[in-house]
Amino acid sequence: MLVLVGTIPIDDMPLTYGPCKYEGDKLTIGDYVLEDKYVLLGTTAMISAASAACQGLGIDEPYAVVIGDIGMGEGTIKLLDYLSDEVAKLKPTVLTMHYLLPTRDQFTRLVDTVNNMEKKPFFIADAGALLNAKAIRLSQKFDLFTPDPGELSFLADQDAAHPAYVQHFIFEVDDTDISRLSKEAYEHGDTPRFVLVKAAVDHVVVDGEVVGVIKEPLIPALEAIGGTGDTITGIVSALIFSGIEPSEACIKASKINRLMGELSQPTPATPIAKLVPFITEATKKIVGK
Amino acid sequence: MPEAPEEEKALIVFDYIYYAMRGKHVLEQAGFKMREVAPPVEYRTGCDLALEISATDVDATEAVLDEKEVIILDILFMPKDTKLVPVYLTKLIKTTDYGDYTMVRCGNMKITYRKGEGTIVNISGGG
Repeated sequence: MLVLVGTIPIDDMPLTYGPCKYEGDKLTIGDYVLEDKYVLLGTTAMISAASAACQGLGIDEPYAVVIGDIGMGEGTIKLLDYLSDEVAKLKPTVLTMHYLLPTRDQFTRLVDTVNNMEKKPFFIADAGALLNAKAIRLSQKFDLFTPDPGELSFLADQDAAHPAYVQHFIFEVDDTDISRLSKEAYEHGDTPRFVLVKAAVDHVVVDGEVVGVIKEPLIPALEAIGGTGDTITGIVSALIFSGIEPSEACIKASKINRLMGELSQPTPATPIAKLVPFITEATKKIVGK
Repeated sequence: MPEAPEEEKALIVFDYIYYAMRGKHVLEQAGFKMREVAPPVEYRTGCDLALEISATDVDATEAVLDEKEVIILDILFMPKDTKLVPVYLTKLIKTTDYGDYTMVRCGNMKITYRKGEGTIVNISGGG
């Protein structure tokens, strides 16, 4: 089972879990139906992308565990407590953690629980979960991170306590910087074995070394469009769940995300909602289904 | 010429970044001088932003924060010569010209607006 986890900025949204399905104008999670802007907002953009990719791959839909949290962290704590209690029963083969508020004790409990499972799932983190894992030095308990260059600069700064305050931001996204920072981050234990860096040029890193660089198709407008980092995380989760080897899955996810952009012909003003419908087709083309 | 003795400092620490940022805002509005710093490791509860103030301002700042309903975790009096890690809000801002649109990037965050009218059309990189 592919299990996707994160918070959604809806104040009164209860803890919600179940199989999920993206259908263009709505995203269903268990009995809960998200519509309009909530279909593609942070965690739900990741979930919708994963669902669309699973549809392209012809595999089971993902299972999601989500809750409302508008920034105070209470939803995050309930979510992590629930998952720590239930994850062994869910038996995920791939577990992806996404937008969460910073926590230490509950997050550590979940990470320890997952790592002590009889059959540990492939453990992915992006967004708040990635930042939290690094901040409390649990990065190497995960298998894959999917940072953008800003998040990578936080991972590479051993002393940084907060992602807004790092020694260096990569303003000119540069192959050399991404390679160097990925290596440094891995060497001081702040990245897991696999890293997919989403930038103008995507990089796939294994054990601190760049093993793949994806430049084409280059769609400059994608950088401006909010949610394209979330979609790549959902896509790579689906590919790994389908059985594709992780580094190959990262390369394919990058290509699918770029092809999604090419097929949708976006401008910098295009919302992510206009791009995600192309993921199923892009997945079929890249994976050869 | 001998250096002036270092002023005694106190540190306001918070549970949540929301209160840290709001605390900074209300104290600035009230005219207090402060510095954003990383709190000592033992006080990191998830919010890694603290406010360093003059020890002489403790009572007055606490009153302002209380009045404005900014919830704090604690106020710590720092031993003299304590060196806290300053946190560097990103100073660099970079812009990208997309023809009809401009993307402004600051750290992780990218905001794109339509030229002329200034309408924000996309926000990316909130992580």
